[in-house]
Formats: sequence, structure tokens, C-alpha cells
Amino acid sequence: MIGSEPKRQILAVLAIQWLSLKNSLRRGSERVNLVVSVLVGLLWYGLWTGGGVGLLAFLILGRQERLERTLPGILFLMTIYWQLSPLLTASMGASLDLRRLAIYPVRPRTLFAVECLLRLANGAEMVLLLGGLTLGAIIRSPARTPLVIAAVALFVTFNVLLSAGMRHLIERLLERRGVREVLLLFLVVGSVMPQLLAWSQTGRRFARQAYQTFQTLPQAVMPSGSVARACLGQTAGADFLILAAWCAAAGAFGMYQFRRSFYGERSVARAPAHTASARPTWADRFYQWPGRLLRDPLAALLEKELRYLLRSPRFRFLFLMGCSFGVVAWLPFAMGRGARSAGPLQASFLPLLSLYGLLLLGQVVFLNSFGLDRAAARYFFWMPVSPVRLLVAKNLAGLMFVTAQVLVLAGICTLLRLGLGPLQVLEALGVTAIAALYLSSAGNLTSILFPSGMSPERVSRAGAGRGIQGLVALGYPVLISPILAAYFARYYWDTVRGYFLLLSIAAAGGLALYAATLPLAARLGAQRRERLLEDLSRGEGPLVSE
Amino acid sequence: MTPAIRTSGLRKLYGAKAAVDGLDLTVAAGSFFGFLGPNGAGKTTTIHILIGLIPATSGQVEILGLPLEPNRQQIQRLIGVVPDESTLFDRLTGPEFLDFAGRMYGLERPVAAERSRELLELFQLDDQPRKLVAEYSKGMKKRLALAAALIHRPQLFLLDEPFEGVDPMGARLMKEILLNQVRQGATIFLTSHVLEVVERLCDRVAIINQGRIVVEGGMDELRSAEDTLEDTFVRVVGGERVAQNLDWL
Repeated sequence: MIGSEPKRQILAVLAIQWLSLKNSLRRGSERVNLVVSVLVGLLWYGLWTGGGVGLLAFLILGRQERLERTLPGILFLMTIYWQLSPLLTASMGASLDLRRLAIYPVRPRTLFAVECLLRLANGAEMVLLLGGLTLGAIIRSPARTPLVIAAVALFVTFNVLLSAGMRHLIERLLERRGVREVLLLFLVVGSVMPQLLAWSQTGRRFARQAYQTFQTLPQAVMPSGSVARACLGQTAGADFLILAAWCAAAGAFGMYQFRRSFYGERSVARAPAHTASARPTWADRFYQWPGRLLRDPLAALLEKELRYLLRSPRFRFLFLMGCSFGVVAWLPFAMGRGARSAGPLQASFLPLLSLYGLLLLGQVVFLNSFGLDRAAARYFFWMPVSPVRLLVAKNLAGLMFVTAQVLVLAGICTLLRLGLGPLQVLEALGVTAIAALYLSSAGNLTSILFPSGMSPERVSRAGAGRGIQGLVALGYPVLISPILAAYFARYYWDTVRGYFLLLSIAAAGGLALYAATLPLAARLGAQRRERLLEDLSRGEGPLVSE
Repeated sequence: MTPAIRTSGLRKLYGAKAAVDGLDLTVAAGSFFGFLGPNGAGKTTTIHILIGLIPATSGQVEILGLPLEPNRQQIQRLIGVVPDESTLFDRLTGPEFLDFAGRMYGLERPVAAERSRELLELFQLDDQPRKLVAEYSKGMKKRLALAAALIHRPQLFLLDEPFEGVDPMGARLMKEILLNQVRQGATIFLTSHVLEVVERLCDRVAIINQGRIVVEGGMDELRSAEDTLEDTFVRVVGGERVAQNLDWL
């Protein structure tokens, strides 16, 4: 039971968040963002609702024996998704801004209650699935309704409490230099491992053993096992005790981690150990190379972008994601059964990966290119430098990182023995450069019209998750449709000549689009610089989310 | 002599509210000009207009004899700015930022690098060259911002609360550097809430309230044997009203 003062405080927090949102909606661009966000949300959650309906049908129509075998695994995967999906999608969703709230006489327990509500909202996908599952179990056996609802409610509580703790633990770990990189490496290896296991014989054997091991896990004491039994009418009183015990443990863990974030000093990623030496390091030489090829101010801007982005944990996180999760997602297609038959997906594996990586990185370097500069973006507007040059410098920096990402991906594919030749690497570089033209054309406009300030330190936020940028990301296949048309011609009509012809047309179209949108974006930037700077340095409410 | 800054009928509207309301201002070249006013009076908005960061709703602006539009870029080469809030790129080191600033102002790379090194030394920021700006204290950030404003030897400085958060030693250093610039012919347009600093540094002062200049004059005109600058300030902005006693306070 929440006392009256904590309740007032919770209501105050929610009220000022609502007011922050309402005040921001006075602006036209924010309203557009909201409408687009709602549409994107409807699409996303619509898909998960479909999943929930699937589970509903599975529970109604599935054979008992099959359900008994699979349901604990499905519920276990739900827990995994709930806890780790924020990390894998590089977005932790909304959270309390403890730095601002900690100065008030509010008990951590009160704020923890709000945090749990937010974690429930962030796990909405799983709530939709569980809704379908619950309904299916009730329809299967209406007499068990109270037991099913109670078990699922405890399961949700367990996941919410655990994810509240996990979020703060992961966020603190990701803020620590060194630990952050190790954690990312662990995550990447951990994600690639199942794929690696799946396409080698030894791996498949190992995977079978792992599955058998999961089956032999003491399902009796696992929350997923208890809920599955409740849904299938095998509940014993002990199952509820087990679920309650898991909830208590998750609550203690969640509260402990939350308290640590609340009271603990948040570490800013530290610079390397201070050295008095002013001698240039190898990194300095790398940063300075644009200066050897280009003239100032373009070279200075490009150097700044290289240094700045590479030192941003958030950017590095997205770069690593582009280099790793794309491989994980597409590996089954490249290495699956019959992969050696060189179908379109296998033959164009690297360009596909590169286009995916471009989309991830593009969120920061193209679609919201002033986002990481935030208040410092003002600097550009009192410097004697033309907005066109500024945008070109940002686009060039983006292109350089995208190129680097393609090369890293090529290296990974070579290590995985995916039969990559130099021509395919060149093809991937060319295709990605063309796609980058389209993305930067759209991005120059969205960066000016819908800028959104981002913290370079916090890796737990998505790159450009706000409405318009999100929509451009969703419309990415349409944006690069001239390239996709070239691939269609190559594989459907089996014409390499046609492929190159269409690719050349796509490149020319991309260049024309870039040439047309660049001055437009620069002009818009000069016209609405006041609004742009205001958007970038705008404060948020007590919740932070991107 | 051409004034460093001249504005006439300058207005900036936010909806129906005028942040700057018909500002007529002339700042003589070579002067140390104090631009004072209570919070929300329109000081920062004025500076933002003068440096071309935001457009005025109406009115004329001339900087160093040139109309702001269409000479914005040319003017930007001639002015040095320290803004109200940090606009430093926090993932750069101090030397990297100064080098970047110098090159953006069109300095040759070796010149930018050399001046960057010297300025870091002058502002006592050279002991930790690999420290990121994100790790600087507020005072260090202000010193770095002033160093960046100096790197291209501007003729006019627009400084918005440059001493805010700076320790006494740092403030003294900054004051000496600024006075030296004025001695060499530069013009300084300064806003500050620290009236003692303004009294010490400025030779002319304008006080703005609700977007309008309410008083302007030489330092000797605004203070007398009886009145300090603070007394004058409080009187002209209508701040003499004594806070009412509240029952619960």
C-alpha cells in the first residue's frame, strides 16, 4: 500500500512529465513527431498483437503433450527478451532521470514504483504475448481462470522487478569504460554463438545437448515452469510459493540496483590516464589525415567529427551493433541449409549486412547528425562557415564510418569463411555508398527539421528514435528502392549487365537527389537555426527517453 | 569613428511577447561596454541577435560598420563570442577544441596549433592536455571558451556572463586579459550580474529591462558618492520594493 505522501510524489512526477509532453506539443514539429510515433507504434505493437493471437490459437488448439514440452521454453524466452531486448535494440526506453529527482525529499522506494511502471510499459510486447497466452489458457479450461490470472500476474511482476534491476545494472556497467567494452564483447559473442552452433555439426550436437539440459533444468523451481504448469492445469500450491519467492528475490535485486543508481555517483566515461606528453599518438595521426587531403574549414570539421564520434560511447555502441547483430540476424540465411547454392541472399550477403549497418549508424550520422552536438551545435552558427560545408563535412564523416563498417563486416565474413572475394567487398562498398547518398539526402533534411539532442555518453538510448527519423528508418527500403531494383534485376532476370546499369542509374539518382536536397537543407538550416538550436538544447521532463 | 555596435529599433518577438523591444544602442569602438539587466530582461537575446544566432523580428544591426545581413559571415570572422551556456564540444580535449576553433576562423593550421598552445598556457589549462572538455570544471570551461574567442584576434568581443562559475584567480586572470585587449583597441560588450566586476572593468554601461534600455551612460554618471552601480541598477529596474513578509516564511 502506498502512503499519501509517496502517492502525491508519484502523481507529481507523472504530472510534470505530462506537462512537459503537453508543452512540447505546442510546437508543430513535435506534433508531427507524435503522430508519426503513434503510427509507428501501432505498426510495431500490431505485429506483437499478432504474436499474441498466435499464442492464443496455440493454447486453444495445441496438444497437451506438445504444450507441456514447449510452453516453459516460450515463457523462458519471454523473460530473456524482457530483460535483454533493451540492450539488443540499443534502446532502454523511458526511465526516471534520477540526477534531477534525487535532490528532492523523495524515498527511493517511491521512485522505484514509478520505475516499475515504466518497465511494464517497456515490456508491452511481452504483455501482449502473455495476454494471448492467458486468454488461450482460460478458453482451454475456464475453470482455472483465477489460477491462470494469478500465475501470469506473478510472472509479469517478477519480470518487471527483475528488469528494473537489470536496467540499472546494465546502464551502470555500460557507463564504465573497459567494463562496457567487455560487456559488449560478451553480448556480441553470446549472440553469435547460437548461430555458430547451429550451422556446424558439432554446434548442432551441442545445441541439442543444451536444449536437453534446459529440459532437465529444475522446471519445478523456475518461474517459467510454474506459469506453464498453471496454464496447463497442473498447478500445485508450491508453484505459487515458488513464483512469490522469485518475485521477492527479483524485488530485492531490483530495489538494490535502483538504490545504487539513486545514491551512487554516476561515472562519466573517463578519458585515458592523463599524460603530460603533447606528442601526437597514432590516434592523433589518424584524426589528422583529412587535413592532408582537404582544406579548412572542411578538414577541421571532418577531424572534429572523427574525434567526437569515435569518443562517444553511444556512437561506438551503434557501430559495434552494426558490425555484430547484422551478422547474427543474417547468418542463418548465409549458412543455412542449401546456402552453398549461392542464392541471392547468400551471394549478396555482405551488401545486405552493410545496408543494415548503414541503417543503424545512419540514425546518428545522417538522420540526426546534430543530435550528439546538442548545445554545442550553436558554435557552428557563429562560426564563419557555410551551412553547406557543415553538412558536407558531417556527411563525409558518416560515409567514412560506414565504409569502415563495411570493411569490418568483410573481415568478419572472411573469418567465418563465407567465401568472400575482393569483388564482393567492392560491390558492398559501392552499394553502401549509393545507399548513403539517399540516406544522407533524407538525413540532411530530418537533421535540420526534426533535430533531437542526444547524450554522447549514454549508450542506453537509441540513435534517432523519434518520430520522423524513426519513420525514415522504417521507410528505408523505399528510400533505397533504386538499389533494390538493381538486385531484383540481377536475380530475377539473371542479368549482370542490367544490374550494373540499374545500379549506375541509382547512383546518378542518388547524386542528383543529394545535390538537390543539400542546398535546400542548408537554406532551411539558416532560416530555422533558432528553432533547431532550441530543439537540440531542450530539457526533458523527469523521464528521459529517446 | 565607426561604432563597434549600432542597433536601431531592434525588436525580437516571441509570440506576442517582446524579448527585445525597440533597442537603440551604440557601442563605441575601443570601449569596455557593460550591458546589464535583471534576469529575462533581454540581454542574452540581444547577444544572440548580434552574433547572428537568431534573427531579429525587425530593426537594424550594424557590427563594425557592416550591416549584419547580408554580411553575417564576414562579421563572424571579426568577433569573438563567449556564450551564456557551454557550447564546447565535450568529447574534445582543450587543445583539440582550440585548434578546431582557430581553423574554423580561417587560421593556417600551424598558426592555429601554435596559438592554441599559447592560449592554453595563458589560461592555465595546459597541465592536462588529454583531459576531455566533459571533465572540465565550469570555471575551466569558461576559460576555454574565452581562449577560443581570442584565438583569431577579434576586434569585438561579445561576452555573456563570462565570469559565472569562475574562481577568483581565474576571474582575475580573465579580467587582465580582457583589459589588455581593450588597451590594444578591441571592443568588449559584456553582460554580467556581478556588478563589482562591471564597475571595475567597464567605462560605459547600459541597463536593459523588459527589452528596453532604461538607462545608459558612462560609469561616472551611473555611480556617485552616494550611489553604487548596484543602487542605480536596483532603482532603475524597479527592484526597490521590499519583499513582503509571508506568514509561513
